[in-house]
Amino acid sequence: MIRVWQTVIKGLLSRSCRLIKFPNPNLNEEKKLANPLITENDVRKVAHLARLTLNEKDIPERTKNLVNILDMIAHINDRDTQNITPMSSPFADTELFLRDDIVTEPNKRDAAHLIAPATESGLYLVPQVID
Amino acid sequence: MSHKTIAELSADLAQKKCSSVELTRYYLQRIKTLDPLLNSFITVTEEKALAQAAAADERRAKGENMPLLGIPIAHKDIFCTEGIKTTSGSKMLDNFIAPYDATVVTKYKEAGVVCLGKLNMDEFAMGSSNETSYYGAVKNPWDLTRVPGGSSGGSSAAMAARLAPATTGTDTGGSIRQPAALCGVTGLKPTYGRVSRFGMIAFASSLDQAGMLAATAEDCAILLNPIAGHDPKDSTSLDQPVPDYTATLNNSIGGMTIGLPKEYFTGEGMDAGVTKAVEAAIAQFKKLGAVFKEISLPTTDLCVPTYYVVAPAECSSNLSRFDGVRYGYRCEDPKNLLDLYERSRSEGFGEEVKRRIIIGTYVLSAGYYDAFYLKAQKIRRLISNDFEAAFKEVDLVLAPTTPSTAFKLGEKSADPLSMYLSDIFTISANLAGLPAISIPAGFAEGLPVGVQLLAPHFQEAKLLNAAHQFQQVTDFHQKIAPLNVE
Repeated sequence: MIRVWQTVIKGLLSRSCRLIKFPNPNLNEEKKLANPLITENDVRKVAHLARLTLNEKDIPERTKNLVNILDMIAHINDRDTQNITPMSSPFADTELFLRDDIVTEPNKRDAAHLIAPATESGLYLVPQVID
Repeated sequence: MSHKTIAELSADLAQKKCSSVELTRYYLQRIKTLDPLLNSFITVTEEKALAQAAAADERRAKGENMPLLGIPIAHKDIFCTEGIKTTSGSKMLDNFIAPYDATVVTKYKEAGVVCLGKLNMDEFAMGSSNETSYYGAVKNPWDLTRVPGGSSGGSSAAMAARLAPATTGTDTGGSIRQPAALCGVTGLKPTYGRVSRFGMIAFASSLDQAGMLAATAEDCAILLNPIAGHDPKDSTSLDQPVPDYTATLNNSIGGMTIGLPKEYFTGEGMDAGVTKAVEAAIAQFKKLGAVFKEISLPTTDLCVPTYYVVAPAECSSNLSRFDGVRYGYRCEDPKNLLDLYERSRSEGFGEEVKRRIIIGTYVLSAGYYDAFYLKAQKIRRLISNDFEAAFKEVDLVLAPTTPSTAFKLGEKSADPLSMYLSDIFTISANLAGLPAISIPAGFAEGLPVGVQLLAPHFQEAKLLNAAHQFQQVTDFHQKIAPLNVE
């Protein structure tokens, strides 16, 4: 399997990237490191956007993995997709079923609250957000 | 009894050779004895199973005779089961008792199926080895030092050891077919929209599809019948006619045209044992009268990169619901609302899930959306177009399910990229929404090898027909992993 991928990568490496913002896979490792798709600071920022806190000592290794994955992903930009309509799902072009806008389900608030971490008077409890 | 298929067990129940309670006790005992070796179950629902079995026996006594009435199966722990813990393999949902049933669970209940319990899986179905589960790795029954595949690794291991006569699974990038292949069982991923996703904990909503793992294609047909069809609770489940999938199993496949994508058969990249088994399967299909034709799927090289944009993007959106407020894990003593969100998610999710959320958030973020997400959606269209063109020339496509047999536990867990490439042959079916089946096709150094058939949308009957015919002249599907309780 690795050999399959190596063959694929080899083919891809021979092409130049179409988007200037992506590092050229032909760059040597030194230059690639100087211009990675994601940096440690990006990882911290994206994690915050996703409401995740990361252990600071894991960030270098995590970033290295992400750089490798994004390098692999970036090859999608090697293919010309001019005039191609994006496909968001297999049947995105099919008219999907919509229910009539009427109530069909009973109120299950009590059942939902049984599995909540904290509730009071029919409401979910969170730490105070307004002083 | 463990060697029997669902078709045979159903006949035994109908002829009163055994009762559902006896059958259920038999499998519960097998789980008790063998699962400590495998770790395939997260929850065993012994009491409920026996009550359901007794109810099924009563229904049979009153004259009901549906094929699945009284048959015990086990569900992947991604399907919500009312009153039973549903974890999706995550610490985040370790305390989650689902308040409702998934449609798949409801339909099986209506068909009289007995639920033996809930099966281990990669966390939120993100993984190809079942090593990302909060509940520990699952072992492959053919070699306990190897992975069972993933993400439906509990489903495949339990099936291979016949801890149940069938299991449910879900397939987002190969999560039914890859573990089925690595464990030597039959696994069907139906067309996207053929089976309701309601109550199935979402990973990537445009790719996720429910299906099953069983001993034979015939059993898959029996199991698909009650769950296929439109569900008003899932707007992406399509209202297409549902045939009786067992009705065409015995049709001849003489003259059926099967395509071999040249990009999959480059002579490189596959284990020699896998290549040999796939070639033997092709020869067997030829003996059955199928005609093979070389086809081209030119966008094959971009399936993995495209998948690893689309799936993480959807995952990052779907998993934003886990916030420590309404259900699931909540951190201790949050200082404020942000701390509650961040610590609940960071402590509740495992490493692979966090990695995919970060990738997904990155590719959806301003400045990268067009270059990654939109671009991947365009490549997805090309991948789908490749198949559309191919199916103008052929009835089915044949490919290896996996490039290698089951790998060692821990072999790929430190290198996510290498793990992602395990699904190189299965991902395209999800991106294009096609039905696909993996069937046992032989062994390489004692480990099972699977071969995969893909069909046009909603042509599951054709897939099952070809797979069933193959299983009439081969016996790989009858081999059971060498763990024995009898």
